[in-house]
Amino acid sequence: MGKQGDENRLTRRDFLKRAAVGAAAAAGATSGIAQGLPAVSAATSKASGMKYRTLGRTKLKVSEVSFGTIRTGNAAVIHRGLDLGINYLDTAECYREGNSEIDLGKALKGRRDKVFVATKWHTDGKTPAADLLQSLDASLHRLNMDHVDLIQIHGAGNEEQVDSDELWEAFTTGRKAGKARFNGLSTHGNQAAVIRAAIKSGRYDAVLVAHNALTANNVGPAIAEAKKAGVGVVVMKALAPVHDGKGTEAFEKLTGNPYQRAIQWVLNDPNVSTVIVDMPTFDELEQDLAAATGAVTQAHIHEFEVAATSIAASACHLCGACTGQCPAAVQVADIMRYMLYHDGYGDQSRALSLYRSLPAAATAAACADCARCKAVCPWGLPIRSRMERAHAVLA
Amino acid sequence: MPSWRSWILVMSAALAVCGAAIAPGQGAPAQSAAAASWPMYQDARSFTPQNLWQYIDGAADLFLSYGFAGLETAQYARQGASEPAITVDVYDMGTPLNAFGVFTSERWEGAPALAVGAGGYDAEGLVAFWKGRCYVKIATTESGDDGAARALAEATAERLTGATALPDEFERLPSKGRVPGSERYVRKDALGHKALTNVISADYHVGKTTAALHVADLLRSAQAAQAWTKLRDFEKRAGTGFAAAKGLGEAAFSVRDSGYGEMVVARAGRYLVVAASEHATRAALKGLVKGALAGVAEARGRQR
Repeated sequence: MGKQGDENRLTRRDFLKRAAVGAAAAAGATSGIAQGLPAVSAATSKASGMKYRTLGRTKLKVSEVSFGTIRTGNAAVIHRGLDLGINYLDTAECYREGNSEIDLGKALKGRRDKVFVATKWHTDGKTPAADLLQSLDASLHRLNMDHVDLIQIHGAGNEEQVDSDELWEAFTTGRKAGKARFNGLSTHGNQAAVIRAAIKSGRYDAVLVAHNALTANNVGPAIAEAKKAGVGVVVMKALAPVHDGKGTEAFEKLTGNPYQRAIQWVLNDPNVSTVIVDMPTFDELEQDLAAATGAVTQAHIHEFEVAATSIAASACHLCGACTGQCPAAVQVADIMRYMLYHDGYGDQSRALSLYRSLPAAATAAACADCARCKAVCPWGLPIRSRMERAHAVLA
Repeated sequence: MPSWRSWILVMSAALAVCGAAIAPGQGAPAQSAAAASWPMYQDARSFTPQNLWQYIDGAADLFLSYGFAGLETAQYARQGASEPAITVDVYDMGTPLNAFGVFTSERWEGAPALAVGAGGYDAEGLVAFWKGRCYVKIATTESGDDGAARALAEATAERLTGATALPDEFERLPSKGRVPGSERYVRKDALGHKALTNVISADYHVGKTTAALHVADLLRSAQAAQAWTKLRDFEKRAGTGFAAAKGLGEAAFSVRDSGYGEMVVARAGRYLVVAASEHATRAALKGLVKGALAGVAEARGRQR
C-alpha cells in the first residue's frame, strides 16, 4: 500500500465513500468501483481550451491529450500540463526502471485528486494473482499513492493473456482493496484480436492501443466495437507515421505541424477517448497540446491521411499479422516495434533494452531466411531484411 | 581467483588505455580485511559508448548524454560463495563536470553522505562517489558485506587521479548562503526547456526559505540570446506577473512560474542566470542573480 503523503490525497475513507456513491450510480457497469471523478474544474478547461471525452464505462472525463511518461518526469512540465487541462497520466512499472512512477508520484503531490493515473502489470496469462498484486503494491509504493485509477495488463499480445482466472482474481482483489478502480490492458501487437477478446470478456473498462493513420484499417473497426461495448479507448503511438515519414516529400509538404496533425488525426476518431503522448519538455508539451486546442479542418485530416498513405508500403502498420507466423519462432512483430522505437522515436535505449530481453531463440538471429514473414504481411514489407538490420543494430 | 587488489590493477591499466583519470603505477591501495575476503568473481569487463547498452540497458542514454567515454566493471563474491554479490562500476565521463553531473542526477535523495573521492553517499545496497572525471558505483546484492563495498570504494578512490573539489565551473556561483551539497549539473533540457543546456545549479538560504540558482552556459552569445527569447516568450504565455527587470545583466525579467514559483531571469553574454523559489521574494531572487552575474563576469573576463 502506498504511503499517505499529503493532505490533498484521497483518504482511504474518502475513497471508499466515493466508491460507494459511484457504485450506486454505475448500475449496469460490469466493473469499476467509482464513477466520473475527479472533476476538472470548468475554469481550468475553459482557460486552456482543453476538451474532455468520456472513457467508456468508467465515465471518467479525460482530457483529449494526456501524458505518456516513458521519458516525461519533470514536475514543472507535468504541472504545466495539468494547468493546461491534462488530467490523465499513463505510466508503467518498468518505465525508466521504476523512476517514471517515482517521478510521477513526486509531481502529483498535492494534485493527485485532480487527475487520473494509470499503470501496468505484466502477465503471460499464467502469472499468479499474488505476483500481480505484489507488482501493483510496488507501483503504488513508487507512486506514493494509495490507489491508481486504472491497472492494465502490459502489452497483451494474445487472447490467453487477456482472460485467465489468476488475472481476474488479481483485478478483483485489487479493486476490492481500493488499490485500482478500473481494469484495462495495453496492446501493440495482434491488436484487433486482443481488443475483441477484451470486449468479449466483458470485464475490461479501457484498452490502451497503438493507433494512427497507418493502423486505421486494422485497429479502427476494433476500437469502434470497443466504444460500442462501453470499453474506453486510450491511444498511444499516434506520432508513428510522422517518425516513419520523416524526410519524405509528402510529410515535408504537409500544411501545419506534422506532429499536431498526427494527434488531430487520432482525435478525429470519435471512438477515441484520449491520446497519450510523451512530452518531457515544455516545448513538446505546448506543441502537442496545440493539437487539441488548435484549429483543424477535414481538409487537414485528409491531407495527413494522404501523406500517411504515401508511406504505407514501407511502414509497419502494427497489424500483428506476422505474430506467431515465423517457423523459426522469431518475434517478428515485437522486433518491428522495437525498430520503431529505435528509428522513429529515437529511443535507442528502450529499443536495445527490449531486444536484449528477448530469448536468444526469439531474436532475429534465429531467422531461417524462409521469407514467410513477407508473405504474411498484408503490405508485403521486406521484413526479412528489416530483421537483419534489427539484429545488426540492436544485438 | 584474482583478489580485489589485482582487480584494482586491472582497472588501472584498462582505464589508462581508455584515457581515463587513473594513473598506473601508483601502488596498490591499503589492504582492507573486509575487501580481502571478497575475491573477484571473473575478469573485469569494459564497455564503450557504442556498446554501453549491452550493460546497463535503459540507463545508457543518461550516461551518453553526459559524455560517457568508457566503463570498467568487475564483480566480487564472498570468499567461498558461488555467486557474486558486489559489482564495481567505474565510469569515465570525460570531464569532472560530466562525472559530477551524472553523479548528481543519480544521487539518492536522503542517502547518508560518504567522504570518499570528491564526494559520495552510502545508500542501502549502493555506494557511489565521483572523483576527477570518473563516477563510481558499487552495488551490493546482499546485506552484511562486512564493509567490503566501502573498502573497495576507498581503494578505488585512492587509485583515481583528479581533483576532489567541485568542478571549476561552480566558481560562477556565489558561495555565500549556498546549501552545502546542493550543487548539481544538468547537461540538457534543464528546467524542462530544450533551449537550456549546460546548466550548473545550487540551492541557497534566502531568509527563512531556500531558492535555486541556475547558470546556463550556452557557449555563444547568439545561442544565449535565442534561449533567452524562448524562455521569455514562454513565461509571458505561461507565467503571471511578468515584468522587465532593470539593472541585471544585458536583459532581465521576473515572473511567477506555475512550476517553479517566483523566478528572475537575466542574460549576460553567453550565460543565462535563473533564480527561482516558491516562497522567496523577487527582491531576494534578484540579489542571488546579481551574485551569479558577478561570477559570470569574472568567467567572461577570463574567456577574453
